[in-house]
Amino acid sequence: MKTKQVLLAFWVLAISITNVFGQSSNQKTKKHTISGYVKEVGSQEYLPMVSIYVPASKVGTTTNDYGFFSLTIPEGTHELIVSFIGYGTIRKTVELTDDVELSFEMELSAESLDEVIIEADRGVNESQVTQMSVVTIKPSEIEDIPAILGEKDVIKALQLMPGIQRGNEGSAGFFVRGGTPDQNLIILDEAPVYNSNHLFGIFSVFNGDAIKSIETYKGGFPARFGGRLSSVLKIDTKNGNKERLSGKVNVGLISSSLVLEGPIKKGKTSFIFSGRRTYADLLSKPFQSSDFKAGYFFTDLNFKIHHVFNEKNKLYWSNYFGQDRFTGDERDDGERFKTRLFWGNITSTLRWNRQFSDKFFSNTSLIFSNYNFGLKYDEKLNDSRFLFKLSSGINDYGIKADFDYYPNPNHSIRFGVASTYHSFIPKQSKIRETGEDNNDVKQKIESLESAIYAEDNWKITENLSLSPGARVTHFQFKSKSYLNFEPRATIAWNIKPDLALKASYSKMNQYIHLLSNSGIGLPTDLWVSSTDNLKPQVSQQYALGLAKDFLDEGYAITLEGYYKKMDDVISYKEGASFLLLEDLETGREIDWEENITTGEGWAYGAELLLRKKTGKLTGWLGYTLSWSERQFDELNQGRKFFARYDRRHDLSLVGIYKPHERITLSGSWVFSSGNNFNLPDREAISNTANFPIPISLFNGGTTPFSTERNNFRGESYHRLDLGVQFHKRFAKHRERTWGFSVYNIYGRRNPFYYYFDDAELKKVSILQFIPSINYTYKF
Amino acid sequence: MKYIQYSIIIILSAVLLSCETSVDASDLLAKEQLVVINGYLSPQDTTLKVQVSKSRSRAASGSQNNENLIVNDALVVLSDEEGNEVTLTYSNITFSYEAAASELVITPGRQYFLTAVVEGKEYRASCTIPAEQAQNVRAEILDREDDELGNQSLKVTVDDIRDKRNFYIVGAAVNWRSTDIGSGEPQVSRVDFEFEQFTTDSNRENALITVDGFFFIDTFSETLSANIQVANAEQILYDALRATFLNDYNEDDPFFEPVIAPTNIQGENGFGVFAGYQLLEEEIIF
Repeated sequence: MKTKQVLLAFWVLAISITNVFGQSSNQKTKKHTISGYVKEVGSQEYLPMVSIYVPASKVGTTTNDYGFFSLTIPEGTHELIVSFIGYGTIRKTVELTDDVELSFEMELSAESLDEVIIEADRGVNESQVTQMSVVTIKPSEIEDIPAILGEKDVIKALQLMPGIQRGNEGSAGFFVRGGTPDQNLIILDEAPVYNSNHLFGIFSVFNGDAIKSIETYKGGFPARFGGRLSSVLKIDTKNGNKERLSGKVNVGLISSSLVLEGPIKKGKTSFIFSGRRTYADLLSKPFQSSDFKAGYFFTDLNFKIHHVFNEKNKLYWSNYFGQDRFTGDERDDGERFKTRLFWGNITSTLRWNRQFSDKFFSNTSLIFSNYNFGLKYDEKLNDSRFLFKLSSGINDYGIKADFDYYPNPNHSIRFGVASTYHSFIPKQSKIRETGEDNNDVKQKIESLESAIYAEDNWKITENLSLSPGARVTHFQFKSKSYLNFEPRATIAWNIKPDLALKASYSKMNQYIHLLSNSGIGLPTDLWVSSTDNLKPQVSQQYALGLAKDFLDEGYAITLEGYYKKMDDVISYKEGASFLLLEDLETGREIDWEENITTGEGWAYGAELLLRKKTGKLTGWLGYTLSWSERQFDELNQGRKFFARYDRRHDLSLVGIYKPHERITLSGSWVFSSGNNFNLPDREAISNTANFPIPISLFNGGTTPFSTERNNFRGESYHRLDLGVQFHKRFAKHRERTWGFSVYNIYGRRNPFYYYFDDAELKKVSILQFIPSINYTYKF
Repeated sequence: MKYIQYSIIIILSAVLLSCETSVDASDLLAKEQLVVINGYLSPQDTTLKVQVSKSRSRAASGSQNNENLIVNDALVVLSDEEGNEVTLTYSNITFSYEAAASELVITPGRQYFLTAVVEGKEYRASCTIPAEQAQNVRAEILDREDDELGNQSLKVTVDDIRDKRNFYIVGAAVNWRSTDIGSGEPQVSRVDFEFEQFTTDSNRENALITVDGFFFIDTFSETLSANIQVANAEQILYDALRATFLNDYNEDDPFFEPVIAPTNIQGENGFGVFAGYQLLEEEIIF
């Protein structure tokens, strides 16, 4: 069956390639290629997703992730329109008699606020791209959306989009179309990020200051992405200003951040550094007693160097380091107790862009990603010492080559190959005790995940386009190997120039899994590999949608319905999660696979997004109607149950109003049906009463219980956040901004969890009416 | 500067402090009462017992006595594969329906049936008594050198019943005597095996089953003997009792996902477990 699928994939590819070259060989009119890069004036930052359009012949293209474009058109005189929202449009007439290299520099335009989307933005408008189920959000929008404690957050902003749901109150974990957080592929400069949370999920690890672009796919996944079932969040950082030293300082209530970027060699080599650190631990130090000190902080550091050897060869070296750390120190009469709890990610990517010809572009990446959770306890008594270290984590070493080929305006072909060696350490512990033998335990799982893919964006006719793709994945764990074929396709039919009907299908496999025992993104959540016993998770998603642009008014509306079936999704067995934690405490070896069970999942629903992209008032209205169900033979007595974050309705309203260049007003209101909670809501005489062996700890009497998993639908959730920013611009690109915001301004007591206190049902709420202030200075 | 520091600390406290409110649960909680029937049969029983009660919403638990949950007017009948049957009678002492074990012989490997009629509604279930008992119990007391509070541990080992998946529930009590001021009266301490009280041979077929527990005795004392109990239970019984243990153990953890206890009671709103087990009891002298 698998072999047949693979053969079918290559047959489809062969037909596509024949078709592509067939077209080019049949051309009668002489054609030439315009290729080049689009950059930002002032910083020389390469701009992705810029539209290059020839209105007379109604053909166009968009720049790739590295700002490169290639457009092959007939000989003659053509007007090119280069446009991108937020930048001034460029119109250029080209006398095309031969292949030509052209680079454009676009100017960030405050005036663009008043612009409407022009028809030339063909590569960008919802109705004019083949791709569906994509959410694009600009870093500048994230800057403007009010955030908790003023910490601008990519993931929190994405949670305001339909189909991307938040979990519990305040959590930065996100649930896309009924999936789970581990089913989201989060890529930072090509490197996967395994834990995107700081402070148990209140903040995400992405410091918005260094981000250039954010793309999120909820379905209709292009073949270049794989390895997770539910979504792809692709974040690319800036390359750094190549012309002048610039930066930004932000001082907030709980953290401060700094961005510094500039040329190392003007026009050739640039760097960008950004750092963020919280300082509650530093501020609280003076108030703590000398014999007991405790603290917590998190920090993020991004560092990137970009070097242009020449227009055809470029190098990028991106690094991220982020960590959360709890510390506790206690001293008492010569005795000392030290506790450290830390977790974080490190990623490093080295990329080489090579433009082989005016139609052929490649990027090769060497990727390292690490996630580590650790606990250290050091006890020093007068003449003895006890040291306990525990850690778990994952190291990824990957290599990836991606190729873009633009044979003619009707085809944009991408293909590539990737391979990642995963080294999981579910547990590593070390015990040192005076007078005792050393006790070292290390569990290690190694696996190799590889893929090849090919995809095309094929403009079949002026009104019909198709993005077929295929990905073949291979996973090796010891002697067990999995080979899977993942077909992908999206088709778009323009009923009118600004109205498109789209449909997509995608199949995904996921070979690595997160064992979560809390559902709230604790650092103890553990990444593990598929094994000979644990099969990969698989999903198939079908989506159908309409996209309509109101070009004159700057509005866009999309309506999508989806159905996703997931197989071999994993979960802890009933009660097993805490056996694992117990195991971590005692150091006793157990086989984690024993605690896992697999089942099926279904997610379906509809999403509506009405977005206003230009003008003084921008923002969106998002609505999601959804269902998410699971069935495991070993959970809930084998009965189907609703997922924890299955919510029928999610509504978000976001508005950003800039009446004047000196002021930005923003607000967001969210409403959603209640989450499902596990609440033992009944009680009965204990079932232990007539059993001859007393059950440990149990005191008898009555037993609280429930008969269904996620049995209790909590109260609905809503809150309003408001923010205002005052900007003042000075000479030499300097600007200062004061920002004030209030999270949950009307103090809604949203449920965090419920519990029974005797006969009374109690609700615990957090994060009510959180005001914040922050100051930003750009130079 | 100090003013700013104080402001920051106050605001941070506001974030971290949670707020707790009472919720009117009347529309949110399930209302129907379940008929809860629990009966466990073993060849080692001297009395056959089945308990019949009703559940209630936890929101109503404050206003009711637990005894009000007991159903004392049900008709409870046990029968075997041959059609032998016994009607159990209600006992005010154990709040259960009982019959002497001699009235219905419980034989290893055989199937038994329960029929209960509660308020005119019939409930049915069946069980199979495990064919074998656990064998060859050993126990060993290990002193905890670092513990000055008399905390000791007991290691219990049994041979796994071969070539089948087994579900064991282990209990123990240690008899000891204080040696502090002469020889005191013998005393009993129960051993707490925590999670290990429930153990299976999953992935460890035919291996030794070992569980560790701890118990407390006086610092100056001697351990005399241990009474070890090892039940080889049907999986549903193991799962049901383990669910009760885990849910109770984690009751104060708001993020714990309660274990859904199994049921094999058929009938309208029926809930509970009717299951078989074999019990091995050994007195081990130290």
